[in-house]
Amino acid sequence: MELIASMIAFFALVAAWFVLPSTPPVLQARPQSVPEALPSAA
Amino acid sequence: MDKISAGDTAWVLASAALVMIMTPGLGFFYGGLVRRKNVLSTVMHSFFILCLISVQWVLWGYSLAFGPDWKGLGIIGDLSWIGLNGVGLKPNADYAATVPHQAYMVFQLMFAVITPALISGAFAERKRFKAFVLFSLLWATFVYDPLAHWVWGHGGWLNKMGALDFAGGTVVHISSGVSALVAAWVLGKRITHKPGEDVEPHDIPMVVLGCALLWFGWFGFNAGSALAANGLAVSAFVNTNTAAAMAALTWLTISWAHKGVPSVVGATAGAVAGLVAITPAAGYVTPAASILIGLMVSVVCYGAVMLRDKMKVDDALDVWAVHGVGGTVGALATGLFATVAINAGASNGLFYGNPKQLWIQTIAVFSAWVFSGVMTFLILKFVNIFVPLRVSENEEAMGLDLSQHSEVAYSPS
Repeated sequence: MELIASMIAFFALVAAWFVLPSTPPVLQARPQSVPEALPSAA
Repeated sequence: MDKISAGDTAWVLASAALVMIMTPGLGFFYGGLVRRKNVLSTVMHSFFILCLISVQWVLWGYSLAFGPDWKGLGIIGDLSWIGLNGVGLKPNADYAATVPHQAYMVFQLMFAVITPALISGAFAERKRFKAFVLFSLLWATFVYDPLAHWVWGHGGWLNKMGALDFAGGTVVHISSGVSALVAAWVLGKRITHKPGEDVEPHDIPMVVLGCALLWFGWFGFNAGSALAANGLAVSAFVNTNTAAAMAALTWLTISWAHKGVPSVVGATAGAVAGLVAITPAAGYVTPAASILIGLMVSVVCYGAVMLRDKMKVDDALDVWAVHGVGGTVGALATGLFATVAINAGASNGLFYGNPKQLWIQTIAVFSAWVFSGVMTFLILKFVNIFVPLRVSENEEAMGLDLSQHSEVAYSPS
């Protein structure tokens, strides 16, 4: 019983990763021409 | 019933903890090598995998890797140990006769954790976090677990053939290194990385810190693989330190001659290459051989870095050149230098009158290259169906710390 519950819990997380956004909401609001936020060390 | 040894159990548990710290250490090593806008995402790769594989291993990974052989084929374990069913506190003599089975399981868990984390250096600065998550879970299940079974599992086909891999030259380093090359090729180059232009590490002290943590943890990785607090563990410990030091000295010297300066980053790369190469050999060779292995691996891996430059594959942190090639050097060197004078339970290598061992090592190396390379390609293509592997150009230019995590490593205030 515990094994089944733990499997369900883990796969619920994996399923959530599929549907959660790939891009943070703040960037979804302004996806175009985002300025470079931090200077590159290169 | 086998009797539990307090000393052996203490050493294996301490070694598991040592190997655990290698993964955050790898995060620091890689994190220092990337640009400052990508340091958090790089460190996060290692930290996330520590969490992800810790659960995957308990639920099904350990059973696939070390469980009873499925249908006697030597390919993969069955699922009878799923959720650690039957993996208790009594020893399992097939793996470690004097420590609780769960101690062996958790020691092996740490190997399963660091292996996919090693790959992350190849796709640094451009891989979408969600794609990385799915790739890592699939790779651990369909590449690492079967390969560990082949080499270390009871009934694994390379194990039965007599392949020697003391602590993971094929299972950990060739698999991750070759997969890194394939991943870098499939993902393509960083748009912000101009051809021929070096990406300067943003924090070299962090690189040295990460290297030091890796070296420290590697004592658990290799000496812990003796699975007992005994002379073999001491031999592996001494060989580990010696090879790392010799490889660092050699790499430093080559780069000094080649570029005119004794590079700090070069010294750390050499140390890691030495640690990689001695991994499969640590419990089979003499200290003198470990010096030669350290010398050989730095020469070959330095050449591999230059070759990678010519191949135009953007393996960002040279995972293939150091781990894939270094693991290959170590696995083949084991077939040269192994001696039963060090490990009576193993075999002699070519230099001790047994050329067949070198042939067996070659088969193991070839199998690991082909299997991990093909499987990684297929897994990446599969993940790409559901999630784009790369971030957008804007997100890459902005940096992954901000575009993937909405956080920055270093506050301007």
